[in-house]
Amino acid sequence: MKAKDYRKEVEQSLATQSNVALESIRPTQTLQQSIATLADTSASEAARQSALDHLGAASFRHDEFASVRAEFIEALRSIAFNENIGEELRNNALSSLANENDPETQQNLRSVLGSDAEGQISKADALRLLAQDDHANAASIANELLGKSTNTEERHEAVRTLAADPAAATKLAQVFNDSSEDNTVRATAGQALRHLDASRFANEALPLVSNNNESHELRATTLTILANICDSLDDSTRQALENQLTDELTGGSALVESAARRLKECLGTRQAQSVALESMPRSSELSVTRKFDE
Amino acid sequence: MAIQLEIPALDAQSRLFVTWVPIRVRVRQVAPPQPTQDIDLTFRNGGAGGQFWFSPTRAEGGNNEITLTIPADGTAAEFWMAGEFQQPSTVYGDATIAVFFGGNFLGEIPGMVRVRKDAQTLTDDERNRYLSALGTLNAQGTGRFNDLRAMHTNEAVGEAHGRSGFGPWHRAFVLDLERELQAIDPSVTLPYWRFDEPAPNLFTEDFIGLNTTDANGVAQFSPANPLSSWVTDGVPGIRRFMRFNPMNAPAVISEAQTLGLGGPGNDYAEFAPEFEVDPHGRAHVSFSGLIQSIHTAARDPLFFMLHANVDRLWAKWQWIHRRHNRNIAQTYRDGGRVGHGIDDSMWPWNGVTSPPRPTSAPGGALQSSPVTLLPGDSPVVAQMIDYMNVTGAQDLDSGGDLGFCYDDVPFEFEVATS
Repeated sequence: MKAKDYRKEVEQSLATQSNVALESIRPTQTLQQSIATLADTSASEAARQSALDHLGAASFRHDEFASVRAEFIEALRSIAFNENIGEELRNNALSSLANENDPETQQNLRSVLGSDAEGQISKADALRLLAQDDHANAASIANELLGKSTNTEERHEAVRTLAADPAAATKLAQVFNDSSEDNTVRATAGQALRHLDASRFANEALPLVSNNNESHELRATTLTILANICDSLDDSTRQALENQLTDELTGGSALVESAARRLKECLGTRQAQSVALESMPRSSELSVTRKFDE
Repeated sequence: MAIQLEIPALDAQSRLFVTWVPIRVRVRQVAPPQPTQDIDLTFRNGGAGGQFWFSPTRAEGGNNEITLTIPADGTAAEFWMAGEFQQPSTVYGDATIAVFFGGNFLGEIPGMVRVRKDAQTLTDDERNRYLSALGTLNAQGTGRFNDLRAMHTNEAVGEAHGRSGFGPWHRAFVLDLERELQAIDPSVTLPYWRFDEPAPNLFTEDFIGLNTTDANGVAQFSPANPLSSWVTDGVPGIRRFMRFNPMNAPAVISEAQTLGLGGPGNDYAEFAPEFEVDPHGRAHVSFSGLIQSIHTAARDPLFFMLHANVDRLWAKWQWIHRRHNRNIAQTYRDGGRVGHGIDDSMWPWNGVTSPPRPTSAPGGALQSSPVTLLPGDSPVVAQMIDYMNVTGAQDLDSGGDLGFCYDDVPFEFEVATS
């Protein structure tokens, strides 16, 4: 289609669309009024959520928002751990504070993690939010949780957090190889181990991916991790993988086959590119050159 | 006889990538053997997927084929070509230039009409290539993605947000990421998440991830999805919870309403502040998770698809209101801070770390592209505005444009001076 014809089409479409006037959907409150609504315990949950959405969107205009930022944070703090407030609004406020590495929020999250009582926030969630800040020293808490908790969610979150702890490689390798552990926990342990020590991960991963007794999901995830890092694998590991990536490896699983195919493609990228170029149906009488080469 | 085509849109492996923007192709006879006569060659669109057009001049469109007389003395004849609007490729090689001499097939040059597309419309293969490149770029938290993530934080907020430079800075940012992906797989472009429409194909375990039941949880992926092993800031996983049903759109203003921003004069100075809040800010806060806040948003790969759409909306607004010409005041207004003036260089690509810039500049120069020399290592605001060179103000032999287009924003000329 020609650009001018397309212009006519779009202009006609815009003209005929019964657009709701912007004024009717824009917030009518000022930022200050929205903060008051957000903090107002007598306001409805919907009104407070709407105010939070307005403020969250406006916060991207950083300089304009600076004058109300402190009040905004205070309002969020009053919501994030308040049992009388609905889950969506509370979680949204908590998420926003965690993103800002708010120290008061981090202290509250540590309290949740140090308490034996059931709270409105699970330990797994508390650790996930605390670990967002790499200065929050969440690794020691994660270590402790992994040592004592049998809760899958908590163990999962603990190994995720330990990805940032250089001393955790051995522990993560143990979890990755432990067939009694939940497979999602093992998969995350593999990711975490890869982050800390790539060659160690590759060594641990090689026997696992070809073991048909392991779960298809775990093998597929492990193959995917290897594919994501295949450029950085050393030659001997690449060779070992190429030898293992046989049809038998997939064990009849489409999931494993799909992940193995991507790893194969990744390992064979250079060769595939040269084949593609050579297969161009171009006469020897015709050559192309890049303008920018000259 | 030997014929040489000089094309500015080839990568280092002689693969041809074009957008909607016309490129100049020069053709000459070369030795050996010595040319003895002028010859007529026909260049014809020959692909089954992406479509090319050809024209003797730089134009908005052209024909399915063109015939040129190539002088015997070795001087070049030239033609212009581009991708046919709304006829993009889905895979490299599904667009071709077939070359004929005297009615005989001489050869074929495979290529790709490579433009950014709606994520909702990608083929499975397009989606998988994009995700694979993204996974490689992240490399479990050890890859180049770390630099891109580090560019968009609270420390850098004054460079990217709250002033006129919001549009240009993010245009450069998503271009940097796209070029990094193309360095891994040149057939990939950055898809956009059209957030004012339902996108059920995007929010799946095989693409950008699904919710768990836990509002503080991490997005769920199928095990073979390269994003299933995503790591940023040393932590695996992407904390994200959609607060809307993927069968519906989140609460953002519509595309039609966005194109109506800017006041009666269609002025960027009025457009940008509203645009940054809604739909842009509203799209960010339609989730609970990393993506809802400036400091953490770029840890989530969805950020770049959200911002590809923000950039597309600005591009479409520019097109519909003819706002590519820097000499027209309504095209852009200086933002009152260094980095937001039309001739200012942009951090971090400029490497400047003295106040008021941030104290570090992660990532170095903007990733180069084999198909254009622009914008160079250190982009300036003005280079981001006329990204398709519709004003013709850029040097056509340097590529002229930034090497990207959107599937629904055509190339249409705009006068170069007011």
